[in-house]
Amino acid sequence: MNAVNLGCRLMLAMVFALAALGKARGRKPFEDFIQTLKSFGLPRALAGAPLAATLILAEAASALLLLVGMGAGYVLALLLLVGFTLGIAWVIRRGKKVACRCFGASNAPVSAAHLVRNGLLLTITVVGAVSHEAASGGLAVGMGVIAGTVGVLAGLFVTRWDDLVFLFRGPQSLAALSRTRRN
Amino acid sequence: MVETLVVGGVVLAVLVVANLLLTLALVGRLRTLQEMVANQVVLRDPALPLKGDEVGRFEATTVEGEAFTDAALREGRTLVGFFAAGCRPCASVRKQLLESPPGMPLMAFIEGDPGDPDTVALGASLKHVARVALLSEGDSVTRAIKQAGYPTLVLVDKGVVAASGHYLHEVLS
Repeated sequence: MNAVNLGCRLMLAMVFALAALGKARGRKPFEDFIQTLKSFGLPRALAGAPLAATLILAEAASALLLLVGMGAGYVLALLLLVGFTLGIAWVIRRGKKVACRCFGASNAPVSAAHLVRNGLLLTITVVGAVSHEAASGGLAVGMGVIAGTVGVLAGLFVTRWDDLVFLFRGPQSLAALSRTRRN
Repeated sequence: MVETLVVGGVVLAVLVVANLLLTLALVGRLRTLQEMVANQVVLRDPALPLKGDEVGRFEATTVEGEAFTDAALREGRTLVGFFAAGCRPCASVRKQLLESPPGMPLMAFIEGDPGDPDTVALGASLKHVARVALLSEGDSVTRAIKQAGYPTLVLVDKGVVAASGHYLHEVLS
């Protein structure tokens, strides 16, 4: 149970650290993120720079708490993920084209693939939180290294989700590409 | 023995992670490339004149014997076309131009020998919608308006290239 907990913790920490870094890297990614928030169906007055900054800080805090192994990190991660997932679902339901700025610069429009990704992250969070409760005692170094490495790599894969979806969707004809661009 | 295995495993792990990062970087690059292609940045013929290029000085004589120089392109919008006899894409562009004239002055330059019946026929059919001049070896026109094969269509707006391409839809929106 300890190894599972370590893997989940490091994976989520990786994801949230990269998400916070990607959005706070510069002025443009930050402003793009504000734009995305506005399309998440939030009231105009609420979706501004303060909310965006709060969310980025929450992501960074969650990553830090998970790194040091505090249960509060899971709670924060769960809240963030549920919020983002609801936002994405709202965008998809209205059929709007919104670029996902989950990890900073990406022009991939929000789609069902992001729901799948967030579902996976939610599952990992829940599994991690449950195993955190049950975790006790030590962990062999070798096992810890393996679990940690798997977690970090899985986190890295999740942050490149758009690229992976692009790869497995197969080649698209140019006509289809320019059509999606014009819409 | 065990130490050797551990060291080997670590080396292998480092290599695998490096390989993974490279692969992800490649996929990202591929995505950027596909977006560029979709924006038709790559698909342009590099030999075509670019939007914003100035038309250089040239002198030509139309088949009616009128002088036609770059001064005529300095006012308003003019569509300039380069055609050759016996080129199939030129024939389809010519057909489109005859069926629906572009609603602006049209200047057609034809590559070919004045004694060649095909060239003469091409000139005669284009004369209904355009002023026609024959291109000779070493003329000043192809240098002034970077002509890139046949057919080349260049939309000139006040002496500056506004659009260029090998098909009508590329120059007339």
